[in-house]
Amino acid sequence: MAAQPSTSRSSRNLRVLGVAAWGLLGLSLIFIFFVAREADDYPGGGPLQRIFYFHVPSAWVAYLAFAVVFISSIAYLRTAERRWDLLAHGSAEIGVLFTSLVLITGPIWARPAWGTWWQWDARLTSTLILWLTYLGYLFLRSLTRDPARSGRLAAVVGIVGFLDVPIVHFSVRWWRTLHPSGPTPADPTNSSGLGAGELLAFFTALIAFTLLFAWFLAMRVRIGRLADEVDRLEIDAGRASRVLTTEATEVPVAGT
Amino acid sequence: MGEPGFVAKTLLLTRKDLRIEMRARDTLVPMLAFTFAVTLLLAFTLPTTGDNERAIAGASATTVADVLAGFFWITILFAGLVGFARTFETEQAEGAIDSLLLVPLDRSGLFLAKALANLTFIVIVEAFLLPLFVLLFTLDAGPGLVPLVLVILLVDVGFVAVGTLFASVAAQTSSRELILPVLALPALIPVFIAGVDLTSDLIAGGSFGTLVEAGWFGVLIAFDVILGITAALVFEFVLE
Amino acid sequence: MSGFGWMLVAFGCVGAGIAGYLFSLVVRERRLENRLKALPLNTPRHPADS
Repeated sequence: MAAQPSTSRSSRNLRVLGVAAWGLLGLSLIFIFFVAREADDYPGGGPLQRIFYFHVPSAWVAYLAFAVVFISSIAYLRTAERRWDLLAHGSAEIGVLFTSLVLITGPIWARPAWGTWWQWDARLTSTLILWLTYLGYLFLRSLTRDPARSGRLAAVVGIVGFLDVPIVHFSVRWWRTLHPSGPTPADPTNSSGLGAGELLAFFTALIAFTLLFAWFLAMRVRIGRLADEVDRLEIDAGRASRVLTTEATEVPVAGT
Repeated sequence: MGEPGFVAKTLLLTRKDLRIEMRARDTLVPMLAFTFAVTLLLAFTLPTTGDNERAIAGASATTVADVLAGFFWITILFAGLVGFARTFETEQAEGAIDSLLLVPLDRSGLFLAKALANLTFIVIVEAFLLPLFVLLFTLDAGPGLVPLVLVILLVDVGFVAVGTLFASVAAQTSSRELILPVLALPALIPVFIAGVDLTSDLIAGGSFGTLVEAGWFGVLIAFDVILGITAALVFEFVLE
Repeated sequence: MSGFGWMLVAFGCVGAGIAGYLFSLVVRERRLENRLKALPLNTPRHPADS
């Protein structure tokens, strides 16, 4: 591959980002297990309580990812620039991954803490709705091969799906809710009685997860760009039979 | 036994279908999504065993109201999705999408036209279903009736806005009947939960006053306004 | 299972999810690079013999 200065610099940045993310992730593990010991004495505390340090940052990253999908989708519809579409697609994928992690770690904690795996609570339900929405988004993208059309349709879904979230979230007040509220990037003062060691562990994990998200997203966008490049070159080389046949199967929509 | 028998041939054909599905996965995914979304709705509708506050209240009338409201809205949901999937069927079948786009009208106007047609369909269905429910389940069609009609119309607005938009998205893909529920159901869950909750209150003897005080009423109006406007705005990008 | 056991399961799931996604990214990139290499750009191979 051609070693252009810009690509080598961006790949170096990517490496720095990756090292930082993994380093902080390791550090947060040390903090979680050896520094944040305050909760050990509480009833219901102890080892299980430590799930919180990965559960909440996963939820934060999931929301961040879907917000990126929302913003990139709007930008894509306005500008029709391919990079926004790649950003939205990648961010949706990573968002689904982290939402899955939230939905797995949550019930593991809730089983002993609440005595039930699942509650139809506002926070839980809205997370589940988000997960379903963006699975649908990815499913839609998998159905259409034409990048421009796929991008437009997906952007529409990405925008509408995200608007659903605040509406569901507002209903928290009227819903029966069990879910504890804790410190979030939006509201760090709500410490729910966390000690200094716990806050240190929590925010380290939060930053680590955020960097991990940025790293994943940068790699995913790079792969998307590479895929575009390879597709284009293959068409140029006249070896596009595979791409062209998948295109052709979509055409009969108008002809049926 | 040289020639394969009836069973063997049948199983062979079954295997062919399953293998196609394994590759494409475009039948099972929508089915599962549909199941999941309906379960989600039911989980809200039907009282769960862990629902202690309601068990203490012990009002079985409330439980019946919950169940009736849930089934009312699930019936509407099914009927609506079946109907909305056909929003662009005529144009698609006749290849007339292009001529539709040539109508000298803003795209949001085109969206509004399609949405109003769908709204008419769903209102007719409800005008049929509501009296049926009142008769079959001997509901007391008293002071709750007018606010109930209001709730139904408010749910319809959100339902039709999202349904029409996603029907137009689905119409642009190769498997349009299948993708519509996958896309629309998650987006519609809030509006239907609100609808079920408010309807159940009214069936259980609520009046206009209890309706306005209910939090879900605000959610419903917010949903209609936000998603209605958004759907009309983004519609132009679907048809291009 | 004990609380500690469940905690391990939870952390294991998070680790597996993150590692699994990373793995899928690497696989996708590798596959694209292979397709790129297979292109008849530098080698004077006839496009027909693919």
